[in-house]
Amino acid sequence: MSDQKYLTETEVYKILEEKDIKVSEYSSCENKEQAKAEAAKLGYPLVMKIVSPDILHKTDAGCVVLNVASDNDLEKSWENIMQNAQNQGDNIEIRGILLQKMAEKGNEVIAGIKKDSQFGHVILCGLGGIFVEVLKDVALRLVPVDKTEAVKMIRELKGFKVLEGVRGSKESDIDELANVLVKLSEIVERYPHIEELDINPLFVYEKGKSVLAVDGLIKCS
Amino acid sequence: MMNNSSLTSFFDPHNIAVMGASNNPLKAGYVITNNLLKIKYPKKIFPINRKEDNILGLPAYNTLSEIEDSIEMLILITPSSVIEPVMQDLEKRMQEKGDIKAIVCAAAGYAELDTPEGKHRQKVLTDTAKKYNIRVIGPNCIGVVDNEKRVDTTFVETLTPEENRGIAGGISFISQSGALAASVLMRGASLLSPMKFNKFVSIGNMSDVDFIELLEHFEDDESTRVIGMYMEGYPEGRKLIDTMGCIASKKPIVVLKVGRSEKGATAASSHTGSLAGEDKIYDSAFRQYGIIRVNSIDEMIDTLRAFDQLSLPQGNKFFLTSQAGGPGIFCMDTMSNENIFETPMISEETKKKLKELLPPMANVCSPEGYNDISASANVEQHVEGIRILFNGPEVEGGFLISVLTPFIPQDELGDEIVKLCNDNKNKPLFVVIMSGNVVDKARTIVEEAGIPTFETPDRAVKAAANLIRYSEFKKLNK
Repeated sequence: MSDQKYLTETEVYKILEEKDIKVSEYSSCENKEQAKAEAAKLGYPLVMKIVSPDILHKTDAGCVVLNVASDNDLEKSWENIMQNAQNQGDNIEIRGILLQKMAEKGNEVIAGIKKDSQFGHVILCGLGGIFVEVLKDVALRLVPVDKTEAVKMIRELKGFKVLEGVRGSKESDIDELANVLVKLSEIVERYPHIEELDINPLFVYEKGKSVLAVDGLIKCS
Repeated sequence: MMNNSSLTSFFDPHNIAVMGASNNPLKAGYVITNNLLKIKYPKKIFPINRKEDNILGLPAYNTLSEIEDSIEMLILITPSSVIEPVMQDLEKRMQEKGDIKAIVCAAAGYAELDTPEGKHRQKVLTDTAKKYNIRVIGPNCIGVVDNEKRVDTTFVETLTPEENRGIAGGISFISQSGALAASVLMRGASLLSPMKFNKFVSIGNMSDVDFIELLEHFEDDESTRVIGMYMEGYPEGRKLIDTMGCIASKKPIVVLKVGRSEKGATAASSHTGSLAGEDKIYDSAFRQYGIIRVNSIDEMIDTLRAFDQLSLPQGNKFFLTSQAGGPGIFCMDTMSNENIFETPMISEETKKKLKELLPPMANVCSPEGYNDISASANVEQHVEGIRILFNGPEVEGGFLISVLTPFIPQDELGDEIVKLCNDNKNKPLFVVIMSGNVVDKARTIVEEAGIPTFETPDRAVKAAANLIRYSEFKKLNK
């Protein structure tokens, strides 16, 4: 590992929640018994993800299980995830497993921060899936980003029509998405040592129904 | 207001010495001296050459230190290999007279070579200059032009006739590439009415004077109405953007930035990190701060001339008048591609007036925002329809496309377009007279009246779209 530091998902969520960015309900557990008790509170189906500052690509490492439907499922997944995590190396720090409610699908958006060596912090947003992966359809702004500029970023996306509503789908909560971008800009002011931040995906629901962060990553210097 | 920056010595120097001046027309030292003579630089020129007594009719000197008169600017075109003796000569002069304030080092062979020797030579140059508070432009650049003060230190031969040199417009240009700067100068000089630069700087290796300082100089320069810039990169991106953004709120900046490759982006660990590459950030930052980015040299030249010579449109409602179907439809397509034009809706009353004026074959406002005045349109029908439209509040700017037919007298069309434009200065008209050398006469009349004409409809549309973008930015950021 370099001198750069990655925050765990729970730490990332705390920073987002400080700014009232809504996060899909979660609970970090240290053992199976605690997990089962938390699962009862959250309600199945759930997602389980490893909590480790040393494992960045959790899915690739086999440390994420989707659609966990029962206590039985949870126990099996717990063992699998722990085994796969240990296979990642000898000095891997494992803090437990995060349970998170399976979120209702919305329009998938990526929202983030990057500290550029020449420009300082920039805010990014793009539509998820094929839009960012293939078309690199993203909008960027130097900080600070205010609401007007945030709305312009969203409207600038080639895939903006998807958020406006196409083929019978309803208009997305563009206003709330813009608020998230402004909040990211405020997060930079508070935590200038953030090198990179990803909310990926951020689900954007229909107008008036807000947004939900489902996964997050922060790299600090 | 006087511009008090230390860069003034580059644009309005009191006497110039040319180290490496030559009588050989194939040498840069000849072209520089010749350009200074041809632009009629009003003060004294001192050529320095160890072998010659006389350069282009001027008495030549062996060394810088032996020149009696005071000198404010030194041009260096001697090979970089002799920089050390040249700097010793400069030191001698500075200890005795202390008069030089600016050096334009045109020669190459310095830090751009990326060799220890090249870097050392550049250090010798900048260290000596710094010791005596002399500012340096270059090395590895083509030089500086100020048409107002009749200074031309470039070694670019543009073939501009003497009587057309030193005519200043409102365009000031900065280029990071010497070759590109030269080609912009040469292309600009070859237009029907030569492009009117105010100031022109090729900054080369930026060993001392760099983008930011020049931009700030142009910001305060009252005769600069629009700034053009060719850039490859700059180490302090945020600082550059902040400077440009501050200027763009007062006067337009048009940038041709190259280097779209995304180096370094792959090293990022997050999606955001890998998607926010350097060029993408520049592109977004330009948009955020109202800086106009262009994608070709033609678009750069067209946009700069439009900013300099036409008024900024109040809005995006542009009406298209075409005397030919194909070019008209082509123009509509390119307008739609720009995603910025809005169709002006014309009142029934005005439409009636247009129908009365235009030939029976004409299509009036069909589709909306477009008159096809047909090939049978005479000169009056070319311009009077636009006059009627410009008199109404619905239209904020326009395009006129004409593919000259043999029965249209070029001088009459040119004269009438000029009158139309002069009567409607607050509504810019983008004139496209097609095509090639055949229509030079009509275009020259319009251009010589200070109104740009465009080669093809798409080029006119790009320039107009850029003016609208800037106008909209200014409205939002009052």
